[in-house]
Amino acid sequence: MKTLSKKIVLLGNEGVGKTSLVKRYVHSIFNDEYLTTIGIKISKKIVVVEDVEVNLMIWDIAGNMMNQTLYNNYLQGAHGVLLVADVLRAETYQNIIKERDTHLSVDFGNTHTFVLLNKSDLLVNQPEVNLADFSYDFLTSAKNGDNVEDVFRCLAEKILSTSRL
Amino acid sequence: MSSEKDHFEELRNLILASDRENYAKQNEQILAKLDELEKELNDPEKFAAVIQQSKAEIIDVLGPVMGKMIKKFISSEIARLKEGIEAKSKAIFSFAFVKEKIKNKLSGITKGESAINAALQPNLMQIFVIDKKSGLLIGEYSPSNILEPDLVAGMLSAIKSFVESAFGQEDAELESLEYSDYKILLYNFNRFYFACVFEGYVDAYLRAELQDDFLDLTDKKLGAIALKDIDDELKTRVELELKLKFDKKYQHEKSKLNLQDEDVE
Repeated sequence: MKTLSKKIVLLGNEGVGKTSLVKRYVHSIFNDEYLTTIGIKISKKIVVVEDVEVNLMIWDIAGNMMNQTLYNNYLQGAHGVLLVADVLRAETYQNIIKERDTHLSVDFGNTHTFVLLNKSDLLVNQPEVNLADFSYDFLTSAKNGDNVEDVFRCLAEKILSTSRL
Repeated sequence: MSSEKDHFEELRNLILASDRENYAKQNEQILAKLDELEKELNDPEKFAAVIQQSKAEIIDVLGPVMGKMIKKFISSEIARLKEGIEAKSKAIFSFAFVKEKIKNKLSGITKGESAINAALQPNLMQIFVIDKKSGLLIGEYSPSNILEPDLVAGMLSAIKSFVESAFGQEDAELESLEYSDYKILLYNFNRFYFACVFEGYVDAYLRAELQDDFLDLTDKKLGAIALKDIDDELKTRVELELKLKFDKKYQHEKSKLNLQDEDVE
């Protein structure tokens, strides 16, 4: 089986659940201590798409990243970006949409992006949240695992389809 | 019509005569100067004098280009000298040296110097070839496979980005990392970089030797590789080149060490 390596970056405000999303489903993860120092955590997930094994290297960027140059450096060479928001915090959704429209689509136009609304398990007791107010690709829950596998598989498929062109 | 033309020509000659004379004189002067300059440039002594007189201008032009190279060369030579002195003084007072001295006294063998050299040999743990842009692993060489290469490649790239953007010097790139007994040497090229993990003492000679090895490898084998898709085919190709380059070298080093050990025994 053919093996391909691709880089995925996770973006989103602090506390939206990026790290939790990755943690339960990755094959291996690097030492957590690095996160506080350089604002990044790297992990690996292998996804099989048809006859190809896709080795996804996931760069989880700290939500409070202040240095714009460093932030851009981490995004360099990314094949896919997962923009994560907390479904109960509307401002986190607005922030990722702004990031996508004003930065990613301008400076990283060839990168595939998915918008994830995370913490769907908390929606049960929140009737006031109207999902129609959001434009998103996946509703996920790191807690019960809803759609998490699908996110990585779909992103891998999307990246591969471009790669084959 | 033709007489009109003749008159016009005559008038033009009258008006421009003095100018033409001046130009002819100036041309002669310029040609003479050029001859003089050519002679000066062909005469080593005079050329040296010209250079001497224009020192400031030449420095301005060549300085930025040559500066970095010279600076790098001088610092690497100083590092070699310093390390040579340090290694010798360390070796003289080291436990290994004393041990070898006693051993040699007892056995009657006087191969202290070669034994010390053996004790100081660094141990190559792993070599990574990493895509500069994405931080993805292109290939690796592992005489003693101890690390998860994909994650290490990513983390090294992240640390490299962090250090380079934190100190933000133009054109400056991270060249080494140290942790306990481990040293990671980074050799930067245009699209990828090599990271070599060593255990033990790495001197300036080894650094320079590796620099030559990677320059050669990039120049002859890896410089033209396409990095659009980093797949197993590319990895196999790169890893084969690394193996061909370093297997022989490190097997040779190892066998040299073993022979020395046997001699001492």
